[in-house]
Amino acid sequence: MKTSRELLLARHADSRPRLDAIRAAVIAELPSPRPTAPPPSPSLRSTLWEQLVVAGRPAWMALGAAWVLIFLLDTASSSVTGRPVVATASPPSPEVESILTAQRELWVELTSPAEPAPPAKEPAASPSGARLPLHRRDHLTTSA
Amino acid sequence: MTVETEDEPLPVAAARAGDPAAWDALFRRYQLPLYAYARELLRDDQTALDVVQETFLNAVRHVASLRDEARFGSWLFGIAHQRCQQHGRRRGREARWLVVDLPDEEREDHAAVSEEPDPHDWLVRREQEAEFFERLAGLPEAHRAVLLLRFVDDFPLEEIAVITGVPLGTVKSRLHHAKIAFRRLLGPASP
Repeated sequence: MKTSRELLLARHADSRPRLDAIRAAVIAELPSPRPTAPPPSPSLRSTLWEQLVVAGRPAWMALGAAWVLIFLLDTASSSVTGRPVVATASPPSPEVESILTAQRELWVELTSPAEPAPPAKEPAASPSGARLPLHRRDHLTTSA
Repeated sequence: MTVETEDEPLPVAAARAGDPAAWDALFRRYQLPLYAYARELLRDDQTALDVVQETFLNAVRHVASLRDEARFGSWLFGIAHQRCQQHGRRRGREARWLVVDLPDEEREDHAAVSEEPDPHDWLVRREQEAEFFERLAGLPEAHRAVLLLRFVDDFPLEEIAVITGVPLGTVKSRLHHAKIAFRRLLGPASP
């Protein structure tokens, strides 16, 4: 004895090859699965940001702390030894004083305005008269 | 990937994702029940094969409309049933296919249905097989459809109502009529 289902399916079991062919044809027409899109390549800017800043964050923090420490130490030391440099300088020796004085006088002499020149004298007439002005020579030739 | 038994989970999710192996497993599982259903309903080999092919193609095309993956089977048979209706109309059986409710169907005493053995459990002796198919062929198509769906995949009545697109009461009534037609044949041998 068979159940109604067994009886029904057994009656049509001969159609399996044709059903397999139909199934294979439909499967062959299936669109190929969509390939997964590759992840977008990171830009140069983001790569640099990641590798230089984000990855080296502890190093950058340590470097910043070191700079702050140096600044604080420098400020503290300058407040302790902050006297003017002039006050600590020793007075110049007499030789240097005399050289500086000479140099100062030379400087004043060179930079002071020049004295006005004496007024120029009229040149004396030449006895031969060979070097008369041109218009006088013309007068002489016409009268001859 | 194969689905050899009805108890194995169906790879419906993978099929929805476009996995050909999953579709192959699903179609392999349902191809013969679908063909048997269409063949016994339409009484034509080539048309039944066409129905199976169209059902597969439509399933691939419209799988996004499947709401409940656990009901893939009834969804697939729903497509097949619609294709059978269309082929039946083309063959000039429109008058019979469109008969959805017989006038007295809803007035039947549905309590009698539960007293009959379920068609899925009917046992048929070898010498009764020919008569079994004769009686099946003699049923109106609307009644035969309900009985076949109970035979081939043991669908619950609620899912048969969805597959055939008729109210649950009508399904019960049709099943009752089908049982009456088979009562004389299977009565003495039924458990």
